[in-house]
Amino acid sequence: MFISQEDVPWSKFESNVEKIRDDDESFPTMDAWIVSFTDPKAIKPLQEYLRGRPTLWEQVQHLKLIRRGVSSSEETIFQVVVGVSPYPPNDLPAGYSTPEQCQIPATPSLTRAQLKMKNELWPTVFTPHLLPAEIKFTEAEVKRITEGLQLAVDEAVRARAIGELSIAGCLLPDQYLDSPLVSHDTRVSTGHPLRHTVMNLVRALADKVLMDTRAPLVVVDPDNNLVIADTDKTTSISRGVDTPSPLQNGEGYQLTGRTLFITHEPCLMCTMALVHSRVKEVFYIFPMAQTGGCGSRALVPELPTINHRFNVWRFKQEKLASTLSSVETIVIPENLDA
Amino acid sequence: MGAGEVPVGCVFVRDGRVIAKARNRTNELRNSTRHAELEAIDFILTEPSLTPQNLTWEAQSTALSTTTLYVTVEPCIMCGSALRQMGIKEVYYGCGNERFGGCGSVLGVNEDGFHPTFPGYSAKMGYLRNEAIMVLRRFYLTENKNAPVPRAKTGRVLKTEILPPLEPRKT
Repeated sequence: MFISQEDVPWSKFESNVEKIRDDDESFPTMDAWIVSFTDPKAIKPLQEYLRGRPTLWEQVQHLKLIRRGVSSSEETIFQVVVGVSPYPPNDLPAGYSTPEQCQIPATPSLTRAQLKMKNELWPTVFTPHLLPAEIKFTEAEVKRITEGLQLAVDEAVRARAIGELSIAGCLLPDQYLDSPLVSHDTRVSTGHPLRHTVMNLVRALADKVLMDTRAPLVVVDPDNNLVIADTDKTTSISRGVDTPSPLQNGEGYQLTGRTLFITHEPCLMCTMALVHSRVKEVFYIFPMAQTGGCGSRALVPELPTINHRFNVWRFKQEKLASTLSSVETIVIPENLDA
Repeated sequence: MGAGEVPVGCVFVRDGRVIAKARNRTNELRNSTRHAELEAIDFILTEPSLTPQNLTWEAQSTALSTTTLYVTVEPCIMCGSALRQMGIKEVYYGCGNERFGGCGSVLGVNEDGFHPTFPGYSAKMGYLRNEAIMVLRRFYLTENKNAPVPRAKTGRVLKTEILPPLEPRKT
């Protein structure tokens, strides 16, 4: 039994960069450097050139590497993409013409119509399986998400009661987390302008990992023997010199694979911190129109060069009162960073 | 770099004097948000000789209003926003960060008007740019062995040619 996007109280926040429809009249393009030649034997050295450059190779995966055309004198012309950086490649094998810059499609074709249209610029691969699936949730997922959001609200209410800003977040239990992990803003109590919910949460997770994996600390005891320190009693010892033990199997970035539930749209600092810690998706309740980094001021995970993407879900404001309790008590001024 | 961290370092200067310096500690602290800038800010805020203690966070959000930051790489969007929320006076950085730079390369978090209350700050690139680029290249020549899920990077060659900076992306 599935519940569709229209019937859940949150909606996916998507940028307008690439709306994928059959009737699209435009598509994203990128600059590329191409070389042209007529001798088919000249293709192979270029294929080897491309395979030897993994970064470039990755960036042209959505393209057919060779474009075949016919010149005015009915001669077959081959063209190959040899670079996508702003600068022309300067290390091509000898004997090729100077690369020319041109615009080519930046994404593969998801429909036949796109394939035909993009082909005018440069042939792309056909990947209908990448068409976005219809968004739907199971009842259990809806229940879990609502629970996560309500836990965040409850934590924000608690934070407000002790004098903090009423901003809070929550992770639900997973393979490495026995119980929900909540965190709230501590700017007021610490007098530190950067102690936001996300930063506090990421730090709590990192410290937990550090405690679990740190190699025993060796210290010199009063009799000049090397002993393994009782870490509970040696917090004053400088730990700057000991190196972390190698990463354990399964240990990733702090938020790898995890879903964050948070009361207010994270600010730019916190949104980028979520990128750095590789969160899988974020559900937030209140948008922060002037400061938010998850769709309001910018949609950081969709910026073209960002090296990690995550899904952003925003609560439908008209569904607040009927879905979450006490949510009306945790509104904050709209010019604050959450 | 000797500690196996991505080699980014920064220095905060107030009244012609270095008040704090820090480096990236993301691997050591298992916390990918512990960039050099945030490490130094935490030090400055907790050091009584640099920052009056027991102020409200609103008062502390101008704590860096007479302080200049010098950093080897353009602050990322996270640090760019953090510096703004701390009222930094100005920033000089070595090389741009075309993947996630927050001072013009990807997003201009420092620009006037980008935030409703905290003022913008100037961020200039170019100080020791070549040196900053080469430190990073030397590091990435080998694997960042402490980062989670390292990729195989065998057979890499250190390039020494440095191309001119790109025009900042318009936001």
